[in-house]
Amino acid sequence: MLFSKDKGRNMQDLLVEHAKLVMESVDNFQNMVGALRVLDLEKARKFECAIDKFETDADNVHRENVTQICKGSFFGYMREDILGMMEMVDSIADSAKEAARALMWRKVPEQILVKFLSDTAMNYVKQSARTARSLLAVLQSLNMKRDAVIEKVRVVELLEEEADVLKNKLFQELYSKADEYDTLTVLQLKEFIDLTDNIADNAEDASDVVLIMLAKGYS
Amino acid sequence: MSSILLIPVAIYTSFVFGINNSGLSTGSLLASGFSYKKGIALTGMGFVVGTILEGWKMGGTIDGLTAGATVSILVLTLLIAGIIFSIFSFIGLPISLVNVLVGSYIGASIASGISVNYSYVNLLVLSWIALPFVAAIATIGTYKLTVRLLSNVSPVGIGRFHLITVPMIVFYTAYTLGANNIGLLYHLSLSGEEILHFLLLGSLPIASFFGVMKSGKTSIFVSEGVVGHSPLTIFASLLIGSILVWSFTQIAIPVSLSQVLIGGLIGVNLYRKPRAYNRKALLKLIVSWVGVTVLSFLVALILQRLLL
Repeated sequence: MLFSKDKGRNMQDLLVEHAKLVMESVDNFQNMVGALRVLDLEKARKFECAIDKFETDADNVHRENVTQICKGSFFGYMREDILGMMEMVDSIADSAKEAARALMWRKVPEQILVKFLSDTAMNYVKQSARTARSLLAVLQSLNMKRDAVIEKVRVVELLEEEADVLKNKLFQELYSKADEYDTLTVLQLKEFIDLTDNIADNAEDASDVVLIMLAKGYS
Repeated sequence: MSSILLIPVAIYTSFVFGINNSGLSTGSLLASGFSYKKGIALTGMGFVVGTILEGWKMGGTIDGLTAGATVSILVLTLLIAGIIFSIFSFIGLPISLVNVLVGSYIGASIASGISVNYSYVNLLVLSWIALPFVAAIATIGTYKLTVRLLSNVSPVGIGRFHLITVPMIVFYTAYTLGANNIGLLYHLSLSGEEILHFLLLGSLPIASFFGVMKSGKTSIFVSEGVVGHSPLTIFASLLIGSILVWSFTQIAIPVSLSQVLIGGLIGVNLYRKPRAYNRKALLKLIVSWVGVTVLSFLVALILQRLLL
C-alpha cells in the first residue's frame, strides 16, 4: 500500500531487527574476551561460534532488508544513505567476528594472554561494545523528535572517543611490553586491537548517516 | 483546409507534450526517490482527470486573443507546436506548450490579417514574466513554513509526510497541467462537428498519457540537471506551481508550469544554503523559453503568409 501507516514503522523495524542481531554478535564477542581472560578456552570457543552464527544471521537479514528497501518508496529520497548505513551496521558484526578470530585462530601463550587482557584491554572491549549498543538506541529513537535523535547520536560519538582513548592506552601498554612478547604475538594482538576499534568506528559512521538523514529530511 | 486534419495533429501534439512536460512532475517524483512507474501512473492519471474536469475553462483564451480563427491557422499552430515539441523532447529539454501555442497562433493570425487583441497578449506576456518571480517568493514562504511545522516531527514522521504528500502533489501538478495546457490545446483543436469535440476531450489526455511513458530524458533533466532538490523544496515548489497554474486556469490564462516550477526551485535554492544549481542548464532553459516563443511566432507568420 502506497500510503500505509505501517510503512515508517516497518522501515524502522527492519533497521532495528538487523542491528539487534549485530549487537548479539558484539555481546558474544565481549563475553568471549572475558572468557579468554580467565583462560576458559572452551567457553571462549562457544562464544566464538555464537558470534559466527549471529554474524551470518545479520548478513541474511541485511540481504533481505536491502531487497525490501530497494522495492519501497519510504525514505526513497535517502535510500542510498539507509543502504550505506545498514552496510556499516553489518560491518560491526564483521569486525566483531574478525577480532574474535584474531585472538582465537592462533593460540596466544597463556601467560601473555593474561598479561595482555588487563583492565585496560577489558575496558576497551567493553567500551567498543557499548558504542555499538548505543547505535541501537539511535535507531530505536527514529520515531522520536529530532532533538532526541541528535542527542543519542552525540552519545555514540562520545563513547567512540572514549574507546579511542582506551585503544591508545592499550597500544602503549602492548608496545611497552613488546620485549616480553614474540613478534608474531605482538602483530596478532595489534590486529585484535585494530579490529576491535572498527566495531566502535563503524557504529559512529552509521550514526553519522543518521545525521545526514536528518539534514536531508528537515531541509 | 479540412477541419478533420486538426484531430491527428492535435493528438500528436498532445503526445509530444506528454513526453516533454510530464518530466516536470515525473522528474520531481524521481528526485524524491519514488519509482519511475509510479511517476508515470500518477502523471498520466492527472492529465486525464484535469483535462476532463477543468479543460473546458480554457476556452476563453482563444476568444480573448483574436476575434476568430480559420482552420488553416489552427492546423498551422498545432503543427508548429508538434514539430517544436518533437525537437525539444528529443533533446530532453522541457519547454512551454503555452508559449509555443500562443506564439504560433498570434503569428498565423497576424499573417492572415485577423485582428489580435494586444491588450490580452500584453496581459499574457506580463503574467509569463511575473509568475516565475511570484512563484519564487511564494515557494520560499511555503518552504520556510513547512520546515518550521515539521521541525518537531520525528524522522519516521517526516518520511511518512513525504510518502503521502509528494505523490499527491505530483498528481495535482499533472491535473493542473491537464486543465490548463491540454485544455488550451483542446480549445485550439475545436472546429467542425460537435461529436468530434468529445472525441478530442478524451483522446488528447490519453495521447499525453502515452507520451508520459516516453518522458525519460526530460524527467532526468528536471530531477538531476537543473537545481539541487530535497523533498521539501520539491513539495513547496510543486505546491505553489500547481496552485498558480490552477488559479490562472479559473480565469482562462494559459500558464507555463515549467517556468513557474523552475522559478520556485531557483528561489528556494537561492534561499537555502548551500546553493546548488546548474547555471548552464538554467541559462539553457531560460533561453529556450524565450527562443521557442519567438521562433514559433516567426515560423507561423512566415508559413501562413506563404500558404495564403
